Amino acid sequence: MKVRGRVALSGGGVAALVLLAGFALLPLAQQPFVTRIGTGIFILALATISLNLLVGYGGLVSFGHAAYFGAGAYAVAILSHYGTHRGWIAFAAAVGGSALLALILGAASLRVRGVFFIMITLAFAQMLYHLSTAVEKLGGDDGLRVVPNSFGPLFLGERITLYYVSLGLLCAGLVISDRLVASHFGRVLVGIRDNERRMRSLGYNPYHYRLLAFVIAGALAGLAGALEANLDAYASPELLHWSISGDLLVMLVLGGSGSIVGPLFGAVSFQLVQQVLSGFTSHWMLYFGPALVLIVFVSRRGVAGLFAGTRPHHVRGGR
Amino acid sequence: MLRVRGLSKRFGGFVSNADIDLDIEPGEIHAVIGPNGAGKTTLVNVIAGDLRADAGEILLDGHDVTTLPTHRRARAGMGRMFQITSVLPSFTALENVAIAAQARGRSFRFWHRANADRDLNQRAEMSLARVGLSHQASALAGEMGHGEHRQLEIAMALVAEPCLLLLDEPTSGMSGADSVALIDLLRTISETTAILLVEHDMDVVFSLADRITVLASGRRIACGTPPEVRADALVQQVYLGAGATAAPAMAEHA
Ligand SMILES: Nc1ncnc2c1ncn2[C@@H]1O[C@H](COP(=O)(O)OP(=O)(O)OP(=O)(O)O)[C@@H](O)[C@H]1O
Ligand SMILES: [Mg+2]
Repeated sequence: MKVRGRVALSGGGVAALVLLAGFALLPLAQQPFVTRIGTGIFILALATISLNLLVGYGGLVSFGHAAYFGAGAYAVAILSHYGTHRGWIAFAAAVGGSALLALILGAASLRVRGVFFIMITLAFAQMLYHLSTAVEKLGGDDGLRVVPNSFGPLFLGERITLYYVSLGLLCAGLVISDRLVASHFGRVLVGIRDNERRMRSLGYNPYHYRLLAFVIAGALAGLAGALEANLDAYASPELLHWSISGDLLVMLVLGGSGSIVGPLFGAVSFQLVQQVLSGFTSHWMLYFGPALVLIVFVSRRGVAGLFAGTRPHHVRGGR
Repeated sequence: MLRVRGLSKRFGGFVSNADIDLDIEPGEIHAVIGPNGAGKTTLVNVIAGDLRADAGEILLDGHDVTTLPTHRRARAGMGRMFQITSVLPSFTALENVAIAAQARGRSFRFWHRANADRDLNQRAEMSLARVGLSHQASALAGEMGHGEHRQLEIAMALVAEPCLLLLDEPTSGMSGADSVALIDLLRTISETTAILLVEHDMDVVFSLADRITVLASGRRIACGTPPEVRADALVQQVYLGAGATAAPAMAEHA
């Protein structure tokens, strides 16, 4: 429990490493279907990591995270539409564009609290969704076709390449969120979540920290969106739809909100459940709902909570 | 140090603070006493910035802070302890104090582990030692006892080296030995820091305070040195008349 500079892995951290190692070996099975699903999981996990910074550590239940995910995808698609396929440029535009969007929407949304915050984040995201369906230049309902990006010799149109790039960025996302939460900034953010009034009286302005968390989360979600555009070879309004925001929240709660590795477990279990249940019935959500309630009931910290092992206390510590 | 003039605070039609004047000199311990519901906590909240004054002005070190938000007043040197314990439950005691210390420095650092910040930890350890809480440094604040929470809050306030300390019933819920230690500590602190002390324990008030302001029903009914206040007819009437628990203690000191 005593951590000085060194990383002490919890049970959940070990389980996550095992899981990631398994994913690294998975393409050896040579199943295109599996690699495609795997890539999808990594991307959703990355988006959920970013949402976790807001919900799990910032205490900010954003119901509009699809906005940044979709914006990242559209940034790549728009550049592609105008003939720019270079990875660095496209990804920088996706990350930067989403961060800027988060700055603007966050600055407005963070003025209100509680249920109003949930509503306003949802409203902004839906506005973007409708905007994307209405604007001809963005392809309207059909969206925009994307020519996959290249990073030098790495061509993301190759299934395996995209698989490993996504896996790598997921790992980076896990490390980044781990460091961020344990940093000076991170503990102020968590402190504000725990006791805002106390933090004000210590001299912190919660608004600044929350807004910055918003921007960082937006950037990370934009990165996930850029990968999604490459995976689908498409950016469509679906990516901005509220149901994406909802799915991300479900994955977060399922995996363990406020746990670094929770988003990974959440995305994996969500996809597994979806694949298995949708094989039996098209109304799989009907069964998934109660299952989710059950899981949260058994372990308040989601799947990650099942591994908590030696650190039973609090949402903050799990890695 | 602190200068309050004509301060008023209403909740709907209810007047919680009416036209209050208060001065605290550097190095002074200024006690604010009064029966339950007199408006003491309200006054502290208005001074700290958690509540906005309806009328009047608040000067800190000559600067008008009446409309400044709480965090700006904290940065200007106001340290605070709440009547109802207010700590960060999911952090250890040491982290609570380190986070308080960090408020004066740079918090926009995103990569290095804050827990490994030697400078902050050292300052936090020193502050914990001052309040006698070193042995609990790595205990989770959420799992500490009430008396320890009081000590922890003081450590959090002290570490920022405030020029004005606002304490709302610091000894409530503390063991006898701990509150004796705390009184000694407050005496030491007051050499460098002005203190506004809201306190029900008259023994503490009369042994520590340089001056006392007495509130009743939101109004200031007396202000002066302990002997002056003790001799004040109105004060005696309020305390004896209300049959408050403080009455015997007041009489004892009289
Ligand atoms: N937020 C609020 N809304 C409405 N009324 C309030 C509020 N805060 C305090 N009051 C009222 O103002 C009066 C003064 O309250 P305050 O907490 O300042 O008293 P106090 O002197 O600190 O009492 P105690 O000794 O019990 O701590 C009380 O009657 C209380 O009910
Ligand atoms: Mg009070």
